[in-house]
Amino acid sequence: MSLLSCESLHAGYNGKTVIKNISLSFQEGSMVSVIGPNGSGKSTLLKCLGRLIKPTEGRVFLDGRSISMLNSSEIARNIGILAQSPSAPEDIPVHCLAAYGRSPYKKIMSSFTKEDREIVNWAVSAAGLDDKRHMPIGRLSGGERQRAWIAMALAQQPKILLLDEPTTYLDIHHQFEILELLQKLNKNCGLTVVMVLHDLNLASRFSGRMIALKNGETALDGNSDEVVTEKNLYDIFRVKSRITESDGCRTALYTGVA
Amino acid sequence: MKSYTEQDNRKKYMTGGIGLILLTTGICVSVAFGTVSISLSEIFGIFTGANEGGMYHIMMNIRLPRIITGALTGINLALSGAILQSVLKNPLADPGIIGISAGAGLFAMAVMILLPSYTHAVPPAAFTGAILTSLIIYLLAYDGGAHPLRLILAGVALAAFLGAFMTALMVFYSDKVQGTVNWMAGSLSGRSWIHVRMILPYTVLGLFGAVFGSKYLNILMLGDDAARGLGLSVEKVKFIMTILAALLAASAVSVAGLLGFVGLIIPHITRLIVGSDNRLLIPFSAVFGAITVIFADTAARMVFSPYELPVGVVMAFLGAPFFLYLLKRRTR
Repeated sequence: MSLLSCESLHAGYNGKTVIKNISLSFQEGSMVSVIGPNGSGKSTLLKCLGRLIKPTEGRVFLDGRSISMLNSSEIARNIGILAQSPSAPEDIPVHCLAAYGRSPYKKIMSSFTKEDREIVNWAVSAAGLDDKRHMPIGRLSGGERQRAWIAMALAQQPKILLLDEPTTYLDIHHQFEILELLQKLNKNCGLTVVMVLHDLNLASRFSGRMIALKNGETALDGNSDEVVTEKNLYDIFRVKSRITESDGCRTALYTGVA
Repeated sequence: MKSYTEQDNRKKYMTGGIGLILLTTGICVSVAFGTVSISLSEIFGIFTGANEGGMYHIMMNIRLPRIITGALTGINLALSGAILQSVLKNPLADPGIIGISAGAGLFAMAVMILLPSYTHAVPPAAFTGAILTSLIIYLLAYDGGAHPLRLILAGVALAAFLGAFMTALMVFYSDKVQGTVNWMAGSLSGRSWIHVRMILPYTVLGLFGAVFGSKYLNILMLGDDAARGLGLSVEKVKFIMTILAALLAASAVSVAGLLGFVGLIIPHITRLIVGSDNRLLIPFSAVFGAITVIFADTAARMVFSPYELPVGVVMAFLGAPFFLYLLKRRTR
């Protein structure tokens, strides 16, 4: 059975439909990229899967149960979701931000236990921020800040992590750093990762499965060999390109708009 | 890196200690000084029951209730501002933004001008006006969720609307405006135990609610999406906290008039000192709010003695430059 799935999902804002009839399922331990042009509904799909917005039609299932039937803390213990460029007060130290990830496990009056503390420490280490533990997030670099948010999501101990453009505004070094971190968590901890990415070449390098959206519908769904082709890029992004293959990874070289 | 937190903790304990010392000093100074000075030994005598003369009356029935009303007003306004700044994620939010001042002002002014023989009805009228206005603003701003920007815009619009009514009242009854001036500027003159009893329940409720809600406010400050992702019922928390802020501010203005400044500046100053963690910000704001009002009111009574200034005037006069100084030091 798939860990997370959706069935004929429709959703939008203010009466305007953004995604139409999307049905997908995500296997445990997979690492999936969602790609597509601006406005194709990538973020909306991710928000529906993470129940940040309610679909107008269709349902989302977590472990076979409809998430509209689950309480929000229970969902937060299974799904970690990071929106695009989240912001927080600048003076929160990294370990405090990570500690907020424990809140879905807390009842109204319960206090922070030794176990919570250990999990937060693990999350901060796993995100590679051991030496920045007490640093206020306002003093971190862009890449470190993104990893601090990932630490928060990890402290939720989710089975699946949904990320909306986790590499936006980062230079190429930090983009790789974030994606290698996610790959490591996927391989070593079995964390299922679904991420919206803009960069096709990074998506093809780091994810076994790529889903392309166009005009709110699933246009393509497959591995990078199937998705990253000159014809597909033309159809979906309206760009001319040449596909090359280096160290087993398909890379597109764009040559102009179509 | 460890020293980071240690240094932080020391700063917090020091701030807390200084706050408590200032509060005690403020209360003592405020009790002792005024048109008539009361010496420390006399104060001691009053507490032990040895002195029951005129000094006893001045202290127990005039100064003490006034000081306590002032302190509770300061606590309520500061808590209200701190809560709203977190809920609206806007450091410039204050109780005025959710219509407290406009609603309370219009209702209180209407009573003072149109029903001058019912002055005892001013506090309940102000309270009703404040709560009604904030509810209307919340309803106007609600569209599947209370978005901070919509809330602020609705607040500004409604405040302008009600302000027009106030101006109209002032123009039509210009002969009766005199009596409302003190109230409009915020004054603690002549406040008695009745006023303490009026505001105290809200202070208690507000302190419990805000301290209890502070960890939810912290999560709310991560943004709606992140908060929802952590399983928080964002709309429920926002609504409850906004209502709490409205009750706190409404009870404060109902006993002290339109005391601006505290709700905006005190949480802001406190944030500059202790940081944005609501678990510290909330209690410290309460303490600093009480201190500020007590000191400002003492000054208001004394500077031009035997005449009194409205406490709001003193507060803005001393507080605004101090705030600018803190801001400048911070940005450097």
